[in-house]
Amino acid sequence: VTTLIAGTQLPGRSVLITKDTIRQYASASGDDNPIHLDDSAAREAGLSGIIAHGMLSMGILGSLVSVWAGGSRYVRRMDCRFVNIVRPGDTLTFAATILEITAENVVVASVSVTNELGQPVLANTIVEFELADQESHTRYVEYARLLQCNGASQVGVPDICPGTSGLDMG
Amino acid sequence: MPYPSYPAVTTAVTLSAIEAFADAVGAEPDHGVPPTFAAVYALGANLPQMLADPTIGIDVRRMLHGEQEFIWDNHPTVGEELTARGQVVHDERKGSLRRVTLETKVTGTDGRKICTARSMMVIR
Repeated sequence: VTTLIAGTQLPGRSVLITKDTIRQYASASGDDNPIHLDDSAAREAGLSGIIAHGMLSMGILGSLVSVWAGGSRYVRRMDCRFVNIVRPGDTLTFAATILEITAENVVVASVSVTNELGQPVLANTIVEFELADQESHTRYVEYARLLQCNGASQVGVPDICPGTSGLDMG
Repeated sequence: MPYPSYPAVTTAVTLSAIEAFADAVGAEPDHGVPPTFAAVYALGANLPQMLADPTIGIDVRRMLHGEQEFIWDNHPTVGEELTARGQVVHDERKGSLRRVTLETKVTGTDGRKICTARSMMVIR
């Protein structure tokens, strides 16, 4: 089963980051460091203008992992390096590949997060989530099988493969 | 000299805070407390303590978030009171860059384990 699933791509997402997105995250997280809010303060810190919080990129990833897992409570681990600055106007693209499903029914996936120039924003990104029950496990196996049947491996696969509604991001 | 550790900080998980956070990171409203709400109950609790610690002496204007790891035993529930205990676990300088890692352990009601967070900060 693990052999079948390893290499399967999970449905991805692209998100435009705006000044509003950053302001909203600053307010919701309580991280109101001026380099995220005030262009002149950012310039004083040696930047060309305000930058997004690294935790905003990781937070959007957390929402995506919760979708894959079927709820936040199944998310077991997230780990990443912040390797590039994100500025207002950047579009982040999240794409993930399953590395394995462990004996404890935990899905381990590697995620690439890139900007519109294809540069990595997060690196060494690993997420782990528990499959709640046998039904979720079967759903993942079916999903992997459908992808293989269709020869598809790209992001946005649920559109190609009807019947994977449990994983459709809408 | 041992690295410093900091007094416990308590955060209450409120519905309004969860909703605002979920909205800010594009989370589905019915998916529960967003995983990286840990940025609030772990980092938000202990990072200010480290930044205010003169024995660590970090200039926040020169600081960037380098790496972040969260490991969850459980996720908090709305209304739960969380306790975060932070300590510096690593501090090294290489060339012009300094890397400091803060580890936070978060527990909930009756001491149940919630989360371990490791935050590596780069100081330029």
